[in-house]
Amino acid sequence: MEPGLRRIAVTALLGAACTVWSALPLRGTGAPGGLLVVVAGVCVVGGALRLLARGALVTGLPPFLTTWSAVLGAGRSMLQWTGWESLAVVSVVALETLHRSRPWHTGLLALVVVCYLLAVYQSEPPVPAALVRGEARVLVVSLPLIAVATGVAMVPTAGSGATSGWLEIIAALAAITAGALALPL
Amino acid sequence: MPASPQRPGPSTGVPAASVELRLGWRVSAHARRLFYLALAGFGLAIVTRRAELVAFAAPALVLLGAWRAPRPPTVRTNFRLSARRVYEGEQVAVEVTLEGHDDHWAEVLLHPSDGVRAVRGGGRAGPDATVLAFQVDHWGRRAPGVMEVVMWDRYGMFECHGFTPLPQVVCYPRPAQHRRALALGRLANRSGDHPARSAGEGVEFNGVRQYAAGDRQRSINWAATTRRGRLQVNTFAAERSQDIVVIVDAISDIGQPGSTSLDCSLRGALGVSRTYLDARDRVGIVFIGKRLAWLPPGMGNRQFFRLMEGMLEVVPGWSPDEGVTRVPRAALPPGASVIAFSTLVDTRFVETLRDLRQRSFSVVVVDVLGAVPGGGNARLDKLARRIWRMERQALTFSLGELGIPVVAWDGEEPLVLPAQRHARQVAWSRG
Repeated sequence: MEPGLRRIAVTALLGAACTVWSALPLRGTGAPGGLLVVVAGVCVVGGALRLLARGALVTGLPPFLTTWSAVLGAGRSMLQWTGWESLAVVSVVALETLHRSRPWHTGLLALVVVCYLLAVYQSEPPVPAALVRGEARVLVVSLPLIAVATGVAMVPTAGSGATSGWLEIIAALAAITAGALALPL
Repeated sequence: MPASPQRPGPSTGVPAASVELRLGWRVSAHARRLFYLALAGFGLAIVTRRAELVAFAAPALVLLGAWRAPRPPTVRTNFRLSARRVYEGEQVAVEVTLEGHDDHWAEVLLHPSDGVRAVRGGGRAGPDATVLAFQVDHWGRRAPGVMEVVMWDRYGMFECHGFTPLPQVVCYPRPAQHRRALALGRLANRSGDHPARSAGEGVEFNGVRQYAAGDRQRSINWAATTRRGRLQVNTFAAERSQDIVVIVDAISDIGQPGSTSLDCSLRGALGVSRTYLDARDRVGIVFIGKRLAWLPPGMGNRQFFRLMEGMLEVVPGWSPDEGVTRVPRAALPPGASVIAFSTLVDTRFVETLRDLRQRSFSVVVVDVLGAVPGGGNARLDKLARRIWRMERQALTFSLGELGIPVVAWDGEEPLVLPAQRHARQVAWSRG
């Protein structure tokens, strides 16, 4: 498979993985869950098609895909909308909130979502590979911070009221912010 | 393929251009996506009071922590085109260097315009030269497109785009293959490369005659002298040049873009002109289209460039006000041989050919109509096509009867064979 096409395929697969991971188990989420799954799926597919449509700039695409990209790019400006991936990740996060609290599951989802966005970034034509490598460092240093947020959520709270939830959120945010500022980037 | 009209390289005098690009930095699409993710995670964490959703905000916060403010407001782009004059299908290289971008990532991209194809459309820009390349597929004066400089900061949080148009490139029709310059008609009394029937100082053997006072000693034929007992000398044919006038029928332009009848005509005309100019003949050209234009016959490379420049001004079509079918005397020197490239679809051009023959010019027509009328396989369609073919045959026959041979040419195969076959007939008829 050609490198450009392979990157787009990886992007689509990561998007699908995010959607499925946040949707499972689908039972109990009701109609909003189904709707969000559909929205996330459509956005992932739309994002992949957008990348294909921009494939004219990518060298190494097979001729039939280049033609397909040209058709998509010329005829449908809707497809060029760059918000497909943003809407997809927002839908995935919303879908995750429909389930009961499961910190380790959410932490893993955050990791996969960031990988998905990084793959999208890598597939966008003019972005150089070296820049993506630099961006990958951001992902790597985000990992402990994601773990911190997940850990904070897993710590048993003293009370069951609304205040303890707020405190947890503030604690997680403070820990992440402190870590981000302290990292030697 | 003949030599390029202008070879690439600094010595050719293609000047380098330098443009200062003002950069408008903005948040990159990737950073925007990460912030949307962070906002969604943080917002939903507050609404649902679930701390684990704050994890989605981690990458965006790390990116903010890595933010460094100083970014260059402008960069200087220097670029040089390898050639400003090319033939169809030739590649042009663009050398690009970038100054003042500090340690930011920079890419340079080529956005070609219509009729131009990017061969190497992008690369990393920097103080060392980046080479892009494009190819012009169709003749004409072309704006090759726009060069884009894209820059990112260290972690791709901000990006900027700068655009600069590339200078115009002149693309000439690709000359068709035509190798042999044949004597098509009467040879003028000028020194050239075509052997004439009269004796002269050429290189082609003409015969043997008895030695006369003043003959060169080196021309003595010793074998004949021994046989006949008297001094015999070789004689050689004189070498003369001819006047060729190429007529291009631009009244109709039929066919697929890139290989229309006019494209074939211009490529053929250029190939023929090149061959005859190389043979030290004088070549002129007449364009019959929306307006009549001509270039009187001339010799040498300069004339070849004049012909190519003239071709770029051809406007296909017909204008009742300015369109003229009678070729003026100034464009046709007496005794010139005419090579006409035409589809023979328009009767006005056919009348022009008849008029030329009546004025005693030797005329050869190259039929460049590569298309056949479309339609289905219905009986009436087939009948219409058959009638059309018969009309074409009748026209070709009637022109042949007038002494105007017509040869078909598809624009791909070398032009030498059909021209040679008919040229010989014309040359003999004018003996």
